[in-house]
Amino acid sequence: MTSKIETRLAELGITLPPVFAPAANYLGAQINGNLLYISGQGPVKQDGSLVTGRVGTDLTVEEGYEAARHTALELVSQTRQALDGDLDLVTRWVKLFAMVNCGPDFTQQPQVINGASDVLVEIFGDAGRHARSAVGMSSLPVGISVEIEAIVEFD
Amino acid sequence: MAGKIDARLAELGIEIATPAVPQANYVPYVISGNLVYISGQVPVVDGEVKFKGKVGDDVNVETAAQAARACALNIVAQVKAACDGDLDRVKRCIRLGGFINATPDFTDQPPVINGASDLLVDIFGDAGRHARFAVGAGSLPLGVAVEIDAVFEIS
Repeated sequence: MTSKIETRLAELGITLPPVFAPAANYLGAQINGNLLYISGQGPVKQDGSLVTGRVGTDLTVEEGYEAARHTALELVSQTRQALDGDLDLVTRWVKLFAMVNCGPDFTQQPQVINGASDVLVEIFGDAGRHARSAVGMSSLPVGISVEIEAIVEFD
Repeated sequence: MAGKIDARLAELGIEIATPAVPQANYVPYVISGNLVYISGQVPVVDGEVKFKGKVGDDVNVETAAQAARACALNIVAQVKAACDGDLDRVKRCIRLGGFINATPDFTDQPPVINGASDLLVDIFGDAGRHARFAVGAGSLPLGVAVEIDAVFEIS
């Protein structure tokens, strides 16, 4: 049987990025009951490289939006791996905690993180609608532009 | 019949406003099982964004604590909506995440977020006692001084 979500990804022309494997004593994702907790992910592009730089100075808000979109796709990659390849098991994207690498006077974090929210709704429809928090950080690991952690509910 | 918590709110002279609806592809809260995950709330008062500024610079701790209280009032408004208007269904505030738009050297995060914690205990009594974190963020959406997200347990 064909996966609904994989079909949807194909329709959207989206190829998910490679799964980033943590190189330390923590996991990319952890399951408790029917909730999947995903570690903070960065903007991993299809070729495995990362989007880096401060939004508002090195990157425009639009480029930040694209970075957030890449980050959400990395969350989807992590989810697919954690659910043994079956994205149709996802019942709801529950919560995103989104961090934008930006200067002290930057105020457009929501417009940046919409890049993540929009693509999750494009892929998962209403199940992609989540609660979220968006904040600015003065720095992020290896200089990535966006980092997002997530909680996903599944069957 | 007015509920216990509604009676308590009346005693405290607190009115819970109609909660704000996000203008993007996310939602104010998601219910998963008996948990309500509430999106980061900012100090919107009577439909207007208040308490803008940098704590440790142009906003002092006392004013920032009022901003945290305003965030908590919006959290209560969201949890009320999640409970279909019946705040007596709140079993516990599980966790608050408190972000303060602060200068790099600011260290008084706890007394700021106490503005939210104290309000929740005033309203819900022991059920309002929660785990929390309180951190300085480099910047916040719209330039607000404080943003707080929350997880509640409901029946």
